[in-house]
Amino acid sequence: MSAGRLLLVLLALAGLLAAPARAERADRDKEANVSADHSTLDDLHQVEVLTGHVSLIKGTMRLGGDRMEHRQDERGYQYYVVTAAPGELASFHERRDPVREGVESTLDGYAERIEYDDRTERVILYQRAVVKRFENDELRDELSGTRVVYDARKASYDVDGRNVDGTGSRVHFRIAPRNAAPAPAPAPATAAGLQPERGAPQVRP
Amino acid sequence: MGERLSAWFAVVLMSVVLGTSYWYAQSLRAVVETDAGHVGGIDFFAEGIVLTGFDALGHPRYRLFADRMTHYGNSDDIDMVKPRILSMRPDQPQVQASALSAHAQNNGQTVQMRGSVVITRAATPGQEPLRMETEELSAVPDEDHFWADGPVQMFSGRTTLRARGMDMDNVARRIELRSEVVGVFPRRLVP
Repeated sequence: MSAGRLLLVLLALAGLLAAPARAERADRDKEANVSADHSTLDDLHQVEVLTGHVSLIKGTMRLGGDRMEHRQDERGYQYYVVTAAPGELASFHERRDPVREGVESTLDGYAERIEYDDRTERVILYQRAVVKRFENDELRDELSGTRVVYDARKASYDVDGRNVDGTGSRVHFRIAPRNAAPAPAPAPATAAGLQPERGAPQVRP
Repeated sequence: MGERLSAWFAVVLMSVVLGTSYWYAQSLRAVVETDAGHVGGIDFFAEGIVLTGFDALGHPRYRLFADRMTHYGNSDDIDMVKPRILSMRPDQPQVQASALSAHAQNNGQTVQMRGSVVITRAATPGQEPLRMETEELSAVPDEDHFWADGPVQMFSGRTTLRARGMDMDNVARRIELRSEVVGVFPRRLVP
């Protein structure tokens, strides 16, 4: 597959797994509680680096890893970059606004590096990225790639299977069958020739 | 009558002499107790001081305020009550440190500040004001290096962090919190 065609296919995945709910709105306006083993503030550039068992909790949103870089702009928007210790994965979790009564939808993401942009409400997961969506603690969707962009406002994903050096092209999906009263899933009309890997084994992070 | 008056006068005079001697002895003992642990005795003290330090070019570098300052002769140690030091470097934002007491060794090469220690850095364009609080702080003023081994609180703009142990390099403008870091990043200002 040529690089151009590969790129076209991967870009077409944007929104394929559009989810029925967006990130919990109340999280946006909450302060974040953080803990870590160690912290360094670059007072000149106003960048805070927390290291060692880093945990951030902002409403229902959680970020965890070995190192977190934090900065905020003049309007108070927060930016976090979380990286994992060698051989491990950083984590992201959030609950989404409920759209169906009695159904709690949550999202868990894992990757070597996770970036969270408070202004755009986008989460970008790099390297060995895995995103899982649960409804009432039951796994509904799962996908993995080298780079996963989760847009919390649109509740959509953009998945890229390529490595930084341009190699690799594997993007894995696992979509659980909808049983009772399913929310209508958007059809992957633009993803010509690309189908989710039905029955694919659990994605290895 | 005249003899009786002379006798009473002698008694009063002796009482005054004895009282003065006792007061002087007590005063000396108090000075020795205050000076305990210092090499050399007190050679001067000053109250309500304002001291300005200059660099080699004659520009003011810092200003020190204290309710009382006591200097010990041979050791060059200094004790201060309610010290407050203000940096006056033109190329740096204003930094201020205050405490209930401080002890400076070797003519101020190292300083230990104790009790309600507060360091503040004024806001600058693009930088929020900074405030640090602890109970004991050590400093090497010539190197602009400060550190604390106990609990510290840091307020950087609206961010609050608490930790145990801190190192502050005011030249590189870096602050390290050594362990047990917990805190709050603020909510954003815009909806």
